[in-house]
Amino acid sequence: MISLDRPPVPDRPLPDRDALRYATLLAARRVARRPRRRRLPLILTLVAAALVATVLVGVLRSVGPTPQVAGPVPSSTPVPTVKVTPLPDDAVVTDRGPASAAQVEAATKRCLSGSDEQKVIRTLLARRVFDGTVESTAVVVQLADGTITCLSEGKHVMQGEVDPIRATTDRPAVVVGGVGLYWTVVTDSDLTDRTAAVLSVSPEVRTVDVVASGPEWPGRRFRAQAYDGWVYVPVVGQRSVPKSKDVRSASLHLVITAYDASGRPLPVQR
Amino acid sequence: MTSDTDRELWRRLGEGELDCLGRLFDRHSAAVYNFAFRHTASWSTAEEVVQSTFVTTWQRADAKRLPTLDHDSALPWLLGVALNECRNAQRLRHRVERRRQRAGALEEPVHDHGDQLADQVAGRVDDERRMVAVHQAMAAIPPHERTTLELVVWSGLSVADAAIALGVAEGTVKSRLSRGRARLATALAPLAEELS
Repeated sequence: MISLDRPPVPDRPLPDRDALRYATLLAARRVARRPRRRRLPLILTLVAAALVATVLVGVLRSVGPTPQVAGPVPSSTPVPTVKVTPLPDDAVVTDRGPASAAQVEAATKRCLSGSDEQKVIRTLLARRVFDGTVESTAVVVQLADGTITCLSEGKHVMQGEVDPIRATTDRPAVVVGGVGLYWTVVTDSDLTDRTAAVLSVSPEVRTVDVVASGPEWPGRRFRAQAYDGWVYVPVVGQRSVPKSKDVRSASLHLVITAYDASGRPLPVQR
Repeated sequence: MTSDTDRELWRRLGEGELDCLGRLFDRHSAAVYNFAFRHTASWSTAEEVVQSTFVTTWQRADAKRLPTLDHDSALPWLLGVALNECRNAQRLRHRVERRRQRAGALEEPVHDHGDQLADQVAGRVDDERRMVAVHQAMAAIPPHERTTLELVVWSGLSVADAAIALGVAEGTVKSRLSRGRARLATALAPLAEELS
């Protein structure tokens, strides 16, 4: 019978107590022989950690890319060294909402010459975006010859064409009309090349997550809002540009997750 | 020499006399062993806890971090150490068990009782089964109340000694004991016939 006043199982003696006693004392003796580790006082450890962190942050900031006003780099430009500069941690894509007519006009003027300006027959997408280092107006326009072109006005200048060949996606059903890969070049001391993406998506898509993958592209996730069937992702990848390489020869795979208005991911339909 | 009190042995242990650890082992290892068994429901784990409890005590003595013994017996303090060692052993056992399950092991772990005689083995296996059933019945009792019951009711410590072992005030032990007893009565009622 279980009682509240005595143990449910009676006491038992230690089996082979002498052996356990011997083993315990032996273990204790070994512990005593071991040289004691001298620990740094906690406060010293914290101060040292803070110093290391400060130095590290300083170094990381100093190696971050500095965007400058520049145009596309000709493939013949000599490049002394090849150095990959990682995207800064604060390179967050923020959608600042629709761009005004004046901003669209400024972007168009800046990126197209006078006669080319006349070829713009309609604006497909005009958003103000912030990619962590620069704020710009992204304008996707259709030209008279049917070409879809993306323009961006800001501290960096970009200009290019939608090219469905250079990028592939695992979402052919929601990304309609092919994936438009747009290239942009930001010249700084390291000659870093950034690549943006313009996607034409089906009407139910509201948000898109894009991760670029490929040997030259860090697999980072960026989120962008869809606008009337178009999405502009300012930065999907960044790489250095080798001297002999045409910057347009970028090749990458975009892993795209599309979400509807309620935030549900849209299923893959092949 | 054999009439040395715990307090005297404790003081000399603090000065680095390893022999005193052996004599404290002789006096209290059985109590630590049975306490550890009731806490872990495993005789083999209890053996490990006995060893680690006394090694830990020696480590503290070696590092000059042994507290002064206020009472005549070192047992409350040793059971306090044993409680921590039981928790460590249980965490390790759970980790091993999870790893074993992930590895897809189908068989229960084999109890290693060495070369004990068959009837001793059977008795110990019965003890473990009974203790596991008691633990399951006591699952609803908060751990701190359960530990207080283990120390006072099952290991026979006084309220004052249990307070030392747990590092809490005597009043706290009393209130935990009172609440724990009430819950224990309810928890063990369904087991009374099954385990009698």
